[in-house]
Amino acid sequence: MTDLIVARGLGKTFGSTRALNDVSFSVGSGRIVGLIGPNGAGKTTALKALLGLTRFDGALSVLGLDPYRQRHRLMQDVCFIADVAVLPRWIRVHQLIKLVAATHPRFRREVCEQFLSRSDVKQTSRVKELSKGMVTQLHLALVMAIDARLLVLDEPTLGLDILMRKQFYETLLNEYFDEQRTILVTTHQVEEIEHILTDLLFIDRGRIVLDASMDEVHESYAQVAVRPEHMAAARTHQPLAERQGLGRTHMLFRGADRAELARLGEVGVPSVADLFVATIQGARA
Amino acid sequence: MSRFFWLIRRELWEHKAIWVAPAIVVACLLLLVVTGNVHLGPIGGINGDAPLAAFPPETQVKLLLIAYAGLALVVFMVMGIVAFFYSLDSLYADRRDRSVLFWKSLPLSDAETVLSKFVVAAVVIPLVALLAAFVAQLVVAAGGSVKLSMSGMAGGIMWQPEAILGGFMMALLWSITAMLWYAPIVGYLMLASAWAPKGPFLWAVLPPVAIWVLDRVVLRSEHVGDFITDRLFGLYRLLGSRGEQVGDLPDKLPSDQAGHAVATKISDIDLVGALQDFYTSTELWLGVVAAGLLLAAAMWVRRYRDETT
Repeated sequence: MTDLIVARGLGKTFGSTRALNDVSFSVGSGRIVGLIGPNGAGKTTALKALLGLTRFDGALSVLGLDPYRQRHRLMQDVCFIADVAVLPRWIRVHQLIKLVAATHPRFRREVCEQFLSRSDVKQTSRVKELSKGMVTQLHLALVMAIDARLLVLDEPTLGLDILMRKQFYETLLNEYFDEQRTILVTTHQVEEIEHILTDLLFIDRGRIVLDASMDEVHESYAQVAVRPEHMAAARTHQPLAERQGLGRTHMLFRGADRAELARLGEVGVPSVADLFVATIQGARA
Repeated sequence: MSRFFWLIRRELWEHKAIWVAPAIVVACLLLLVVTGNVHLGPIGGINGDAPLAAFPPETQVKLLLIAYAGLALVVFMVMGIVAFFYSLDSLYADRRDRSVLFWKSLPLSDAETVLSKFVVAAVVIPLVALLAAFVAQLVVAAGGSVKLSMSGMAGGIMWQPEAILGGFMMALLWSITAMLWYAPIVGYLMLASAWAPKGPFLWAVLPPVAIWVLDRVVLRSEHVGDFITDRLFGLYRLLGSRGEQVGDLPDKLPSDQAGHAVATKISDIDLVGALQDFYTSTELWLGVVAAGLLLAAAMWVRRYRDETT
């Protein structure tokens, strides 16, 4: 597995705010990485640094290139949706397709048109005439038709209803993703993407607070629905978090022995959302 | 190269004024011609007061050329305004609606993008102006010849190749000259457009106005004012340097005499000499160099401006 992205000691300061503080991580090819953090944690700044849209301190290599100095070359192999609805409003759909086809060597027009034919987007419409959901569908159709090695999605499904969001991630996984491709995605709707992620990167206050593959997470973290009579015993294992449920207390453990946990109650896989909350609280405490 | 062609096309898709404005000018002219309201300046109207045919052929051509120059002037002024607002908007509009991030997601260099917009403002718009001026000239020639034939005169007079082609050559020279002369203004406006946090119009216009006022009030000099007026209108001064007397025509001459007087004055203009002066002037070539520097600055700002802050 080769590393597509290598960040070492990445930093970025806005005035007196440290948006990124000594951030180091790497992303291999064929992964789907969820970059997850609260608002203002530095997610967007990190993505902008990866895409060469902002200056940064530290060392960063994306596909072996310096994103800030070699943006133009990088964009041949990297595709991104920075935010929803950034498509120019005056343009017509067919004009947009022609432009991307003329400027992007890796764009496959027929793939884009096939995606679009499944939506309500008409080629003759102007972007400003489309609904928010249709604009996003159009943008995704363009992006998924580009044979890029790295796809960066910053809140790609913002403004879409739940049916569309589900359909989007299914299409992404089944029709776009393969071993040669890497996807880096940020979203607030963690529960909707957790089943497609292979890796997690949690970021808070400009620092990486968790960097693990989903396999590692499943191995070392466990959520136990603790029966009331085992509460005291459970607490000796130092749970990372406690949450009240129906007649049970859900506790999150790291690295605890599975056999022992099983005596306390049913052991399950923690959701990314629970893990996220526990990690952020732990990091801030 | 085809990429660049598509970038130019994109600009024409986005900025319809580039072809709508001249189309409106030509349409208005057509309307005036059809309703019979066209008076060709010094010819005194092609309505028999001062029949064009009464002049010797050489004078006829010159009078027609003056009329065509007037038409071209209108078209070029309109296109100048179009180019002004186009340049101001060129590197700002997509930052305002945030689509700049979409454009930046394509493998296009910022230099290419900026250059394509510069080419539209400094080359495509003058060429459209040239074409529109030529069409306007044909409209007037057609209208004039119909009108002349209806009053029983030879309409073919309007179609003398010297006048038609001469008019085209004049507009061609004019558009090429304007491209070179106004290139630094386009560069300056594009730099303002790339740099302005918001309201590029004010960012472009206020600094020169402020410097001009300061220069006048504090230093009591006219250097800045002269510099600005020179760049805006000096083109005509340079071109007219060998025929300055043309403007001094007596107003009250009867139209037929006026025609003769203008024709005589016009023949005094040394056009080739004026062009030679123009193309060998340091002002022109310093301007071209300045345009290159301003354009490079606009590319740099476009490339390194941080859109996240």
